[in-house]
Amino acid sequence: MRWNKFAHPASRTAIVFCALLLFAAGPRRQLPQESQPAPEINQAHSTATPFVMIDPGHGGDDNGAVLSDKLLEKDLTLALARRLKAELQEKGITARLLRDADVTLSLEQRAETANEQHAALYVVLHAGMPGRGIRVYSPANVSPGVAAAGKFLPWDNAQANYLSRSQALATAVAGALARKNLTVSTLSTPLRPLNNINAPAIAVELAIDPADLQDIVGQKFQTAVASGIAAEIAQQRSQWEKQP
Amino acid sequence: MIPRHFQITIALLLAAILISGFYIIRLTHKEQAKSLPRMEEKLTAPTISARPEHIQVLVAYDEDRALRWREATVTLPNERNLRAREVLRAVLAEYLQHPSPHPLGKGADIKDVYMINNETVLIDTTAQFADSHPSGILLEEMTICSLIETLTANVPGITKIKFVVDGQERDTLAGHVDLMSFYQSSAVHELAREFQ
Repeated sequence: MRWNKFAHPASRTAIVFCALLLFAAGPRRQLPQESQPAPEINQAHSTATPFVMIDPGHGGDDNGAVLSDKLLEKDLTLALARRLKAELQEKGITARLLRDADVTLSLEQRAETANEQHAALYVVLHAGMPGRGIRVYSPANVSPGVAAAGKFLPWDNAQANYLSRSQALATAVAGALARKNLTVSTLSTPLRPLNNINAPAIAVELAIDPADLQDIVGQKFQTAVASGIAAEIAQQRSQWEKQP
Repeated sequence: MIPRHFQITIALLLAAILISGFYIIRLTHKEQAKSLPRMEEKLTAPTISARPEHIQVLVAYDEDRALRWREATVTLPNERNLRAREVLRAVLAEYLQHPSPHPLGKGADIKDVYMINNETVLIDTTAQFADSHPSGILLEEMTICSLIETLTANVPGITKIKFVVDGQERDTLAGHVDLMSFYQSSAVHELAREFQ
């Protein structure tokens, strides 16, 4: 019979091997293209001019807190970030936004961008309940662990060398906001990615009371907050420009 | 017309199939009957000694943004990991009641607590604990502080605490507070003092 030709085990193995080879070398199916565009991260190269990196918290798929039916945390932080950038530029300080559109950025990407571009200061903006006024946070190092090895910094503790400077900046910014008759408190927090930032870093959170929502989204309040933060950053300019 | 010998062969084959089927079913039943008592023996729950105890739990109060110690009566087993789980559940019980001082979503629970060694624990929460947690720096920080402070106050010797959600690591609790790090109890103690 015809199949007797292939009855030998070696022949059968050869056939199976050839079939596998054909399968492996055969035309591949096209993988579906990524539908999501690459996030618009601020990709400016590092320059010699010290600058403030402003990070509007959340964005894209990450809405953050839902502050009302029509207001999401990601939109409020972006609006405030743009105002802060304008206020800083008015005072002659270079400022960059980590995102200037509604795009998704991971926490790792945010810290990587700030560190790669050698930000001299990092300010992340958030908004959330409960309370009223503004909360200014400095990083809390909740997991002090591996020490720096030569030029290499442990990612989780990149902030370790700047903790006292971050605390001083948070206190000073809170003071400046209080001078604008805003209700302010200072706290420390294990907020991500503060501990991954290799520069003095603070977080500013607008405390949202639903009864005051109209005021918070208003230009007057946001300008007061942005100008208060910018005034203190300008005041401390000589200190943070001396990096590291 | 089907030849007679062919009819007989088919009839015999059918009979053989039926007999073997019947035989297989009987064998299966026999095996199941044998293995059942063994399984029941294996499933016998270990004797856990537990007794009601008065413990201190650190409760978050959103309205005045404070953490306060409260007394609770909880039945606590002697085994450290089970004791840790019940202590943490006592905190969540405060938050899941109505009205709640610090509301959490339905289904928020502690699935298990794993003792990696005498000092380090891994807390595995339900997915609902993180998915339905209100988003906000302060709210998330208060939850973490109240859980860790209550745990270390009632299960001595724990110094490092890590959270996982439904067995998986997560970046943050609800968009803000770190869940990747191993929290050191001394650092959390300092954090919690800001709220007291």
